[in-house]
Amino acid sequence: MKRVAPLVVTMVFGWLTLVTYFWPVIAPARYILVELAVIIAAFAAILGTFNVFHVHGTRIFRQRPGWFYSFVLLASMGVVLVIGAWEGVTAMVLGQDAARQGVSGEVMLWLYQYILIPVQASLAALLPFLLAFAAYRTLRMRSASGTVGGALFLITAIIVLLGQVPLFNLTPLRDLREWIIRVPAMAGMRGILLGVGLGITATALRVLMGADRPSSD
Amino acid sequence: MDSSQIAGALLVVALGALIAVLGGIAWTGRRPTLRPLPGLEILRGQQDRAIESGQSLHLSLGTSGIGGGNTAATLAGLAILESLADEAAATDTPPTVTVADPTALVMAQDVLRRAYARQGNMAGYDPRAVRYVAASPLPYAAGVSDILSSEETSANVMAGVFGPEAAFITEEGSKQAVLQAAGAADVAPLAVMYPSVNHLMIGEEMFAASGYMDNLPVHTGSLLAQDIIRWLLAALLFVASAGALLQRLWGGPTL
Repeated sequence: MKRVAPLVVTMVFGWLTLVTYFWPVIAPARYILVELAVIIAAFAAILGTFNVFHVHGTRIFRQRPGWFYSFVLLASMGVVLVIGAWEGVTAMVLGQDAARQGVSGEVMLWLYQYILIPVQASLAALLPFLLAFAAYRTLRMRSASGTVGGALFLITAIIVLLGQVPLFNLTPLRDLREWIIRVPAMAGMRGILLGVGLGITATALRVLMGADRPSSD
Repeated sequence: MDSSQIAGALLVVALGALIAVLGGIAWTGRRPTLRPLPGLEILRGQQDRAIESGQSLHLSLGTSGIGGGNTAATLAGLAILESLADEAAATDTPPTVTVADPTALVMAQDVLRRAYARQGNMAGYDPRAVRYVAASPLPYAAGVSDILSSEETSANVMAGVFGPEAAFITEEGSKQAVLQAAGAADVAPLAVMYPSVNHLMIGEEMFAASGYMDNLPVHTGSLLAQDIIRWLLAALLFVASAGALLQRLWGGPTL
């Protein structure tokens, strides 16, 4: 029973969800199932929070290398939790929409806008430099086939980047960039996505047929 | 049902039937030779190498979880974890698994726990081997990079859903000179992973992990079914393109 029950539940709900895509009459069943999944995911988020406390609490307690960063993480998490709860309770007392105030209160929005977004944007800005350096290293270190691939990667990246710059009116470069994106890049992308699509469908079918059991016994 | 729904339903039925038939044939003992996939072949024995070097293997499951549109990519990553987990449980050297979705956290912990239970070593199971790093892609990449730089890691394996931020992880892995194998369900992360990763799992290769590493009949059947359908679709696309080209050359109305 312990082995069969999770399998039956997975198969029944999986097939039901799949059938709703081809038979729209019973589509409302899918919405109910999705709502149930969202509720279960919310409980998983609580477990995720405990995991963060568990992992980083141990690191601080045992004074492992980098324990101070763990302390900063847990302290920030605690501060944000307290602020969110405070704004939610205040909104409730004042008769405002509590659920909305909890995540989009004044202080929470300030934290989001002036700390989280700038930090993430700074990190994202490093990406092009990181890739350029990685491509250069690939050219220097890889085998002959890798060198050809690395050279193609670097040349294509330079053409696409320069073709986008409005500084000079380089029409041939812009046309070449357009062609690269529209023809070889699109062809390769479609080929990869075709494989990914088939892989996803086959993985899902194996679960629906009961051949794969991602759930516990 | 409109034409796209009919095509989708036909594809699902054809793929399902092929998996059942080819899985059945493989089950009778007639195992076909699978084409070599270097990205997956190097994963075999990686856990052993991690144990020998006294370091742990890092597996990143990406930013997706269970329940959304990217569930299959997460399941592919979990299949790789399942293959590595038995060796890890037998030798008490758990891999470090990082996730960015709490549903993936629960699933990954369950996969590890089952492996330890199978090996009769439940005392060695530590749920902290699976870490919920962050809820969004960039902080997740930053957190994983920190793990790679500050902890003794023998190899970095990535399988799941990633964005361009995957470059931070692979670049850190490259800096630490660890062996890297990575696959993703999208094209953008594959492009940024390419310069730093030793073995890239492109397209369906990531989803083939269970077939290569576990060698179960149904997985072998599934791989063959995917190959057959892909060749058929490629042939169909070629014929349609050639037909459209010829039609244009002979001056007929374009499709």
